[in-house]
Amino acid sequence: MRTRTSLLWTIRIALILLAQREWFCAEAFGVDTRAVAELDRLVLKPHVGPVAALCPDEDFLRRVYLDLWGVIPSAEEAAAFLADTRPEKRTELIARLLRGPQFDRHMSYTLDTWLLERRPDKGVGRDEWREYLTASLAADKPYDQLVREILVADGTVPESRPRAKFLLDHDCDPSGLVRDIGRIFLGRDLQCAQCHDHPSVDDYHQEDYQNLLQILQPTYLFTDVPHNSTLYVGERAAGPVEFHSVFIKDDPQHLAQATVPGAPPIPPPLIDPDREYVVPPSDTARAIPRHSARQDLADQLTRDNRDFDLALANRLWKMMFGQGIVDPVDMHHSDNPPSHRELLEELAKQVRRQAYQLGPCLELIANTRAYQRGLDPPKLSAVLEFRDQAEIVVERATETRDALSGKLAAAAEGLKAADAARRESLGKLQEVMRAYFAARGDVMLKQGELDKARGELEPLRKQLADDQAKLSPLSEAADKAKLAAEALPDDPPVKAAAEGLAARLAERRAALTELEKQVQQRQAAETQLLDALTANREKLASNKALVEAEFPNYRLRWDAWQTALHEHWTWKTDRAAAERQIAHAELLIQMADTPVDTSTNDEAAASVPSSALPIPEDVARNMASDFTLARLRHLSPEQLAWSASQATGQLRLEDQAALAEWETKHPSPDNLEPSAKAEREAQRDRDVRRALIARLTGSVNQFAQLFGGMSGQPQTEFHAAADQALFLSNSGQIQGMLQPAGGNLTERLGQQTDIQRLVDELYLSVLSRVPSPSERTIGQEYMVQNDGQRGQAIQELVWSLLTSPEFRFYR
Amino acid sequence: MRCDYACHSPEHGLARRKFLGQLAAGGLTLGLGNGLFTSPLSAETLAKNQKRVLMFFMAGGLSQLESWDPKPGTATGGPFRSIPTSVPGVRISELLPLTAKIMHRLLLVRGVNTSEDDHLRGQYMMLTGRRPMGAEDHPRLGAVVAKALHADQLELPGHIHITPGGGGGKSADSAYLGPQFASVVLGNGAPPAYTSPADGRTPEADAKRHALRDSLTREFLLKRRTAQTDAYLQSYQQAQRLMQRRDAFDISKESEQDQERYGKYDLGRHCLLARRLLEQGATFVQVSHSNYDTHNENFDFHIEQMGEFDRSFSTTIQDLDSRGMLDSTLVIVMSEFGRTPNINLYYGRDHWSKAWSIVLAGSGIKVGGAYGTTNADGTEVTDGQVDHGQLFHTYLRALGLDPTESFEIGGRKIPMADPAVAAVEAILA
Repeated sequence: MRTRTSLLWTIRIALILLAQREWFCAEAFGVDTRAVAELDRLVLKPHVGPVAALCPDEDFLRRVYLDLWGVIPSAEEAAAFLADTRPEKRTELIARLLRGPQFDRHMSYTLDTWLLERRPDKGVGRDEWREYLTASLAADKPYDQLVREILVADGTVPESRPRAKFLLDHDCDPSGLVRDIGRIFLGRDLQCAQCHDHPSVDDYHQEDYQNLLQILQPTYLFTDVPHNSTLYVGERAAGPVEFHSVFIKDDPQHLAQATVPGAPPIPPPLIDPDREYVVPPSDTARAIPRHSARQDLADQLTRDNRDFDLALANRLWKMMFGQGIVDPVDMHHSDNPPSHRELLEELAKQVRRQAYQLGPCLELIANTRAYQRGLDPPKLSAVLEFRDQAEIVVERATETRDALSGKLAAAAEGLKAADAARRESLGKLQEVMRAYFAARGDVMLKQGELDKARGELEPLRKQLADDQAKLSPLSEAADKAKLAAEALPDDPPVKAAAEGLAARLAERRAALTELEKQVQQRQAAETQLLDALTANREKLASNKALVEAEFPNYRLRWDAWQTALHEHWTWKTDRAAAERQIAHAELLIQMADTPVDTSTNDEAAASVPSSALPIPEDVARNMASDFTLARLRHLSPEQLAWSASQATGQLRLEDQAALAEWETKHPSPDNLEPSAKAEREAQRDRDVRRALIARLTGSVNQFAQLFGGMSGQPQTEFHAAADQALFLSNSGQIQGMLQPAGGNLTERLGQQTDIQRLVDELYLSVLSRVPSPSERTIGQEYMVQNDGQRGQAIQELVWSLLTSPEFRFYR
Repeated sequence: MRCDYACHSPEHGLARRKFLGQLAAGGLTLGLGNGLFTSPLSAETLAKNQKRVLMFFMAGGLSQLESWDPKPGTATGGPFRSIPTSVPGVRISELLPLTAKIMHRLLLVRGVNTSEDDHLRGQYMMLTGRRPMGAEDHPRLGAVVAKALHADQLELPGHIHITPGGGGGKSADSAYLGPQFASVVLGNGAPPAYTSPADGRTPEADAKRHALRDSLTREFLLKRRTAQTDAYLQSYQQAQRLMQRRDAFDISKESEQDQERYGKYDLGRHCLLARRLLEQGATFVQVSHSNYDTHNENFDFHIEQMGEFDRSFSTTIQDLDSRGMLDSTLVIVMSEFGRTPNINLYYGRDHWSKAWSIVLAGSGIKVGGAYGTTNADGTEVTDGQVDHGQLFHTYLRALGLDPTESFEIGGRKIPMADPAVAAVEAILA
């Protein structure tokens, strides 16, 4: 039955979509076109007015190479793509790029920057770490699994030590980890909620910060001093964490719950005090607790955590658009809501559906029309056509907004009530937890007393046994001396000896009796302590049962609160969207109703009919924020390093050198079986790929140092500084790339006698496009003027394009 | 309210003054976006009051007892005497005879209490005005000043750090203000990296290359110009100007007499370089003098180090004064902390942050004396206690800035200085 239904559906959809050739092409590459169309529908849902046309092929080509491979295409790849006239070529290129190993390399840089934000290396080298990331991506390791791996890592297993880099680079510092785990994995910067509820963000609570801190507090950096002071991640047993707000006068202490934002709370792990550790902490040993809070964290963070999915979806979107649906990506809260709520939720759904495989998610995004939009805004005339529609939108959106305001007010009440109920229940839970911890303290106290008593009793017992053992020879001697004295009544020394022995025996016996009494007393005390301990343990057990019994109540209230919270967030987000929609529509109406000012000084503009004028800046800006108009984006340091190398032909030289080196090291045996030959080639390709990355590492690090953001800060901002320009202008590295050698760009251009072709090849190599007629003229004229210094002129041309804004940015 | 990030960060290496000027003139029609203060000062206000900072960082922890707050004749005082200064009643260590003569140009702040005896944490606090908290990282004073004051000439970097020893490049001390405000490190006074072409290209050839790039870029910019492309192209102009001004880093261009006056040793050369850079428009110059961490032989060491410092420092102050620059230059002499009154077994002094001194001079400072006192053996502040946070506010106020303003970074407002404390009004002119 089910099969038949789905078959019918498939046929129905196929019939609907077969008409669209575009779909047919996309489907041929295994792209879920319905999912792509849904994303596009949701991008456009709140939009009013025209959208930008799809970008030209040259823009798409450079954009998709940079976004998926982190490098511009080679001149050959560019020429082939631009010459291709098949409509499916974009979808095909996306698929090809995502399946190439260069995608894994680029994603490894991207993840490195997401996760570590250019922090200085500690404990694990950057190369090993990137190799771990690349290998993980190559093996299609899902992102959630990767995150779990890096959060539970301890660095002790040599093969998997790179996983520990995230924790080690943060010095295992709990508050630093709270900040970055919140920002990177949950899209929330809880930093300012450490000592009080966030001063300016309503929904960042001190409770969230402290709850997460509770989980990370036991994690510490363990230095193995005798063994090269190697760093490891240690974890102590978790204890209670109390906090209070410094903003609220007389705020009582709150007991933190080990809970990750976005995830339902889990029952507090209640481990008996004598079972806390597998390895207890000491100067020489890395502590291992029986229950790892960090393992809980990894699970709560990544399994069924809505915030985690939204944050990942948002970061992937930002990677492809230069702007998140929530932006900044680490400041998601109800006053900085997603611009397209349903889009973000749909993408998060896709993330789960694709089982956290990044490639397939990016494939959906790259195939949207939104991603392939151009930078040229529609003409004013196109916008004016939407005037009447804009009026309808204002009307409808105003209704929606007002309706949402009502709903929001109700939801706010509901949320308040749900939060009050949750807090009340939390209070009860905290009460029984406090009782549990108090009982736990009592157990530990009694255990301590018992241990102490036992410690003192043991030597007494031993002494008693000793003394008892020594008494019998004395007793025998005394008996015998007595007999001797009786046998020799006239011998005073014997008599004296016998009396002396008898007296000592009596003394000793008395002392022994005293000792026996002491031992008995202490034994009684020990029994009492033991009884008390048993009683305490029973109390602990009953308190534990109380906590366990209370927890489900809290969980219920928490669920209800979460539902209310989500409802509130939804209405608030949608109301903000309605308000933006109204503002944009009103802008369009205002624009349509204002006569165009043609009295401009710009002659060129004045000669253009007013309807063909470009739309005003603020409309364009709204569209760019709406993903209906593409914007200029800048290359990351890694993209810049690889692209400079690609453009100048240096990359090819490095690749050839890596290959030659491999062939020298691995001479090919004669008469290889075809299967062995294929295996050898596969191995060769893998090795050469790694060698190529290693060859570029120095350059990548140098670009990162100059063009990257400050360590531990978000890395997506654009920075321009004189030292970058000095490096590109004067460094030996860049000048080296411009020297003609081994078939690199300047050498190839030097061999080109036709200067028009020369300029064309230059543009194709550096900017992945053919030059415009005027650019061609400038290039040709420059070559003609500098005919005497051809080589020099070529280098200057390459440098000029390499340092042009068009190279530094992409469309 | 959702912030608008349409034009990411328009400001970058763009000088704030020029940028504002252009906006006022309508040259740039792009939105301001983030990266600026919430309420920017007017372009003219900035132009009128061009301020500079010269900071001496006595790395390792200068002993206040062998410098600014001597306690001769006490159990903790050590072997040196105190001497009178040009300000009646104010005495400093006999190790600083030349500095004593210019005391009327200085203000001793003797009641510093930072309660932090760790080098790195103490340094962070003194340079950021905040106590280290978890993963927070705040920009160092130089980055804040460069961001707030650095003007459009920009031939020279806004934030310069002259250190002994080799090395160079850029340090990670600007936190969220971004790399354009990170200090350019002049290792042992060497000029910044890549300021001369590796191939010895002439300035004319360079200009030709830039002209070619500009002509090839024109068409692109016609349609695609943004605040970011402007900032990017401007960075090349800055680079070219910096190359033209490479002489600014060359103290051999200074007279033999001046080189002699400053002292022919590292600190002397670095102070002369600092003066040269400030004269040529640098905004913030830090000179580090190393290494005062005298757990052993504190006294012998201070004889040597103070001798160097006394001569170079007093010469610098006098020169700034005679050039009319002192009034607009805030001078700070600081460490990460002071040294213990107690003298240890190795004739050393250890880390001490409960009662120590810094020195201020120049712009906005009420000079000519001492503020704050410590008790007889120097173990406690008895009057005028200040901490790193208050001092940080004070530096900014002395420069005519409002430390209660916020930076707006990527959609967040971050106060320029710790909002929990305020400037020390009593030492502001």
